[in-house]
Amino acid sequence: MEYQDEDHLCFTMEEFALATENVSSRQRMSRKRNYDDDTRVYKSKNLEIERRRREKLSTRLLMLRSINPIITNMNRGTIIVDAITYIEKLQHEVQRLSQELHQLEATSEKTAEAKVDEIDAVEDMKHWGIQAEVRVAQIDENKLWVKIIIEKKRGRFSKLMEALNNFGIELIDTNFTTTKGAFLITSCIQVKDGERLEIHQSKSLLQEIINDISSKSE
Amino acid sequence: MSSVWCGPKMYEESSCYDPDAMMAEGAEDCFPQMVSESEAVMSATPTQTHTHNTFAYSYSCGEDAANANGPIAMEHPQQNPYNYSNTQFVEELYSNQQFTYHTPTPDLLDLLHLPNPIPGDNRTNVSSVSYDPYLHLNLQQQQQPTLRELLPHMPALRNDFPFGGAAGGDDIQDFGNGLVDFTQQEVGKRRGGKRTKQFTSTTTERQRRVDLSSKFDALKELIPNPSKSDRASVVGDAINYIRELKRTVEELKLLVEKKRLEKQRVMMRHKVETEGESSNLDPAEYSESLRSSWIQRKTKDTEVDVRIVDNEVTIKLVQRKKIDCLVHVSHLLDQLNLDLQHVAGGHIGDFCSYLFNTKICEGSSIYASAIANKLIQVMDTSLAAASLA
Repeated sequence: MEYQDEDHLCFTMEEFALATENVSSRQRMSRKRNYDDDTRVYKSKNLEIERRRREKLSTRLLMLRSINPIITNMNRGTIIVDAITYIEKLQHEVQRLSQELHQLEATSEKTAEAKVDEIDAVEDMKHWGIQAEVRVAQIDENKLWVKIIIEKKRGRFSKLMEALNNFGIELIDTNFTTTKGAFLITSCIQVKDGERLEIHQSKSLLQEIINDISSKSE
Repeated sequence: MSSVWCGPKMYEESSCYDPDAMMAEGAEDCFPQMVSESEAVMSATPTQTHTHNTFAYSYSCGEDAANANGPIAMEHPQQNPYNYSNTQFVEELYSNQQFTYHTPTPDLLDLLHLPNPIPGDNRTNVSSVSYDPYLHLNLQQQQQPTLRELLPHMPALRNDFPFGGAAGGDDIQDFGNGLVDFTQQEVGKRRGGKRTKQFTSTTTERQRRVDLSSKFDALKELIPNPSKSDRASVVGDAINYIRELKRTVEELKLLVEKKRLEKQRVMMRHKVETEGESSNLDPAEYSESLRSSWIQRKTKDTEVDVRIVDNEVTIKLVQRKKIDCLVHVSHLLDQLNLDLQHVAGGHIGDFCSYLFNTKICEGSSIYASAIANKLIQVMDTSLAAASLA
């Protein structure tokens, strides 16, 4: 539905563009002829623009009328009033349904899913022989490429991001993937102040951060 | 107007003149009118009051019967010319005023036909001659309601009043006055109508423009993030917002239904555990429709595109200012119970652009518009904090 409408709009715009080109070419030809004959024919510059604007507005009003089931009359004022009424009705419907959803959610019981996921994650890492590690490589004077593998747990990524932010480290290009119970993070990092980063210093800092996060989560 | 109303009067005078020409005696002039009036009274005698009147007439009839025998023979030739003149009078009224009253005509003819076949009625007519002035007054008073009852049409009643003489004239004048008043009222209404139309037409045009402008303003206020303020853009944004609200309503209905089914399952499980019996749930309940929805939000510095297919959520985030998106977004996703699966993106010039793939945890009932709204809120809050710092 949406894409078809967009295609229709594009088609309409193309038609308008073609019409505009034709009109402009005609105007040029007519002007040349008129100058040769030493006569002038006045034509308003805004004529086509105004016509296009009016047609655009009327087309959209018709579209607005078509998607609105509340129909009392076909004039413009009524189209707008009915649209306002329908929007308010839909907004009330959304509020009512969301409140009902929250009530149902509050009464229902919570499921213990996190523990199961965590246990599965640990087993998967052991099974596939994945170990936590940190690799750092120099890209530029101020930039380092970082590869981090850590155990998958909810909230670890956000904690890692927060820690890096606190140390003033900025991630430029980041790629984060979850696979087989582990997080794989590859990123290009640099310091916000533009200071120089050393490989060993950065690596030890990252390892310390990761160990801290792991110990806290355990 | 006046010429039309002079017609019946002139005819009335001519009708009075004809009996004079035929008969020299004055008493016989009143006789034909009395005959018609008495017949009208006798024809309307179902009520008790009329029966008393007829009884009085019969008593007087007994007394006069012995006195006058000669005039009885003269009744027949006198009635015939009166009937003829009456029919002419009616026809002339019809031609002059062009009234269409076919209904009362047969009643009048029936009334006139009554005295001919019955000779007893003739005797009562003879007796009434001696009491002309008194009976004339009584009959006139009784005549009006009876004629009104007989003839429902008002113009017909007024046409019959000339038989009474002066009373007829008054009625005619009243009718004329009524007509004049009606025309005056009609003229006043027309003028008033024209004035009000002209006045309201000029005011309505300006008022219509003001009303339309205020309606567009009201519509603009309802839309969460308007792009431009011209009318075509307002209408376009309204169309998109209505579609978005429709999708949200569908999504919420689906979630509510899913939640209810889940609740029923939990209750069934409890029953099974307590009773210790094994029971299979209906397979139809498990076959739910695949969830699909999407929403877009755009503010001055932030664009959010959220798409949900079943339990997977794809979030596209574009930030025009250079701040740390990942910290805030990852915290928000944790709060919303979205399990982060994949992130890709980074800084492109002064922009931050990220794509997040997450999964909805079981039991959570988050929906697209909630995710989008909260993301926008978090981004704007962090932007405000960054600008202050």
